[in-house]
Amino acid sequence: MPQLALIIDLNKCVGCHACAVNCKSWNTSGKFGPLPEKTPYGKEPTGVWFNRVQTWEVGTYPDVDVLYLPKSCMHCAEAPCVAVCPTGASYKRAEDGVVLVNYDDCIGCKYCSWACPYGCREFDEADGVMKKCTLCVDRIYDTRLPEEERKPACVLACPTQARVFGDVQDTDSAASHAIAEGQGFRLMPESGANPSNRYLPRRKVKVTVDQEMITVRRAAAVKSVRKSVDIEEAVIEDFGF
Amino acid sequence: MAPEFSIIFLTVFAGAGQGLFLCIFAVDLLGAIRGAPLAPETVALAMVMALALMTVGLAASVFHLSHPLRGVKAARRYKSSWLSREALALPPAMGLIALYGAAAWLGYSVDARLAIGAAAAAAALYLYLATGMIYASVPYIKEWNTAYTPLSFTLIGLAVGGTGAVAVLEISGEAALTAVRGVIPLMLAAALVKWWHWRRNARLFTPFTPHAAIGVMRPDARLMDMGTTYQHYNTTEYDARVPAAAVDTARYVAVIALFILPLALLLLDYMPLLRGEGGWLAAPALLLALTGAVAERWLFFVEGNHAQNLYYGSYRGRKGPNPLLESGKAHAPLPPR
Ligand code: SF4
Ligand code: SF4
Ligand code: SF4
Repeated sequence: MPQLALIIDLNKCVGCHACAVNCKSWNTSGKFGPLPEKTPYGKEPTGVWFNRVQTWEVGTYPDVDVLYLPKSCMHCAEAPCVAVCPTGASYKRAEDGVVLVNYDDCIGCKYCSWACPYGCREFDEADGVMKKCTLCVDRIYDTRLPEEERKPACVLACPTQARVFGDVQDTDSAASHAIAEGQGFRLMPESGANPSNRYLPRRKVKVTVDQEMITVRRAAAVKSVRKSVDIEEAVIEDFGF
Repeated sequence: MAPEFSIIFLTVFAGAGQGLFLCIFAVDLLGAIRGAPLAPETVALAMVMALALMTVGLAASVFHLSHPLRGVKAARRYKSSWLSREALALPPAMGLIALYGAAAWLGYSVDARLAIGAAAAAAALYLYLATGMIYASVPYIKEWNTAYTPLSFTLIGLAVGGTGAVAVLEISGEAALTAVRGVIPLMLAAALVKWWHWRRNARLFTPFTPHAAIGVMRPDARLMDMGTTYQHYNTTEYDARVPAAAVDTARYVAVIALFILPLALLLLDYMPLLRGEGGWLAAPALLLALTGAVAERWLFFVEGNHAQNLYYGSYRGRKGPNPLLESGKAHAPLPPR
């Protein structure tokens, strides 16, 4: 059974919130109607967002690093939110594994959100129905869009290409390759929900700068600050978890 | 979890209504076996009371749903959802309870009335199970995810409803001794199970950790920003944000009003009943017990600590109180290492 999902590379994510903003923009103006906000310009805005980029601080000063964690519905394989929905408004599509809510059937009992371990369901107070990431089903199959744009809005917006979209059951897809190469993991695996979205962990990155690069750099540095730079070889180490 | 009064009233009042019916039915059945069934008017009056309690609960629950008119659709997923099963069980339970009362009122034979009553009793008991399992089947709220939940819902419903049954019997001048003898052990059992439930939750080991939640296998990760907007559904719905003092007060109210005072009043009534005189203390005991049950159910919600709170900085650790509740802050980062 195919399973579409998002793969998010935590190594590449710079926490710019572009995915979240484009998600909001697409989904509030798209086929599924507006995503309301309360006091959006006030001091304490609240509202419905399908995708939120969290900021975590890891480590102890001075060895701290920042982790950006974009989080949206994981389109779980054993979606617990679907099983508990009394009306059948929440369902998982057999053809692509996308978990959706039929807003016309939802009675607003909120039971599904109790069953979601990831806090990814968002209640729309204005419509009185439960909403969540749709994996942009209204984009990904739209043949009026150019082929390269038939992707979720968040994926298209990401400036560092930290988000990969694809079928994680198809071993040959870009998504599966990304998971295999980047050692993709699931958030909170003990939830038992078997989330389909995967995250690629932060890695220790070692960049060895060769002599030629240093020569070029030095020339540029000397030119700009008129100071000699004594770099023979530089090793740039990024913080890895 | 944020306490939601519509659900609190639904579970308390519907549970009490079922309990009232079940206790009256038990008294009626035992009486019939001994050759002295209840007077038909008493049964009818009791069923009006039971249905009134259940209707209060039902009316409250309508406020919980934003689309109550679509409620009929809630019967669809009975194969996997306890909420659906509750929605399916509620109308037949109320219908059969009404029929039991009507059969008494219309003067049907005692056997016919008891047959309907038996069907209603099965429906009412199943309804207890379904209501309790709605909460007990949520694996991410470990405080609820236990057999204590349906057990205490059932026993508290029976104890409160039983007190109501005694009140109805006393008001209609029936012999209430059998009922009191049944309700006192029910009350004690309810108190014992609730105490075990609270004790279990106080020592609960929760398997969810912030490390696995974000995939960083180090103990020193702190939430700095939960991502877009100040608050939202997943922070307000799942975080009780009540001061610790309110939790303590609710526990005192629950223990005193739900268990101690009704028990004392029923025991006070026991003596005159034994002498064959009428009692009148069950009615105030019922009001107290209902108040206490609301406090107990409020506490049940506030105690619920959902795993998703790990993502929003409001997860209470494996033990101890919520730092967020103590500081009174709207939302705080994870507790320091
Ligand atoms: S992340 Fe939550 S809402 Fe999405 S499929 Fe899983 S349980 Fe359902
Ligand atoms: S809130 Fe809507 S989608 Fe969620 S369980 Fe209730 S009916 Fe189903
Ligand atoms: S897939 Fe679409 S709906 Fe889901 S987070 Fe991305 S942009 Fe939002």
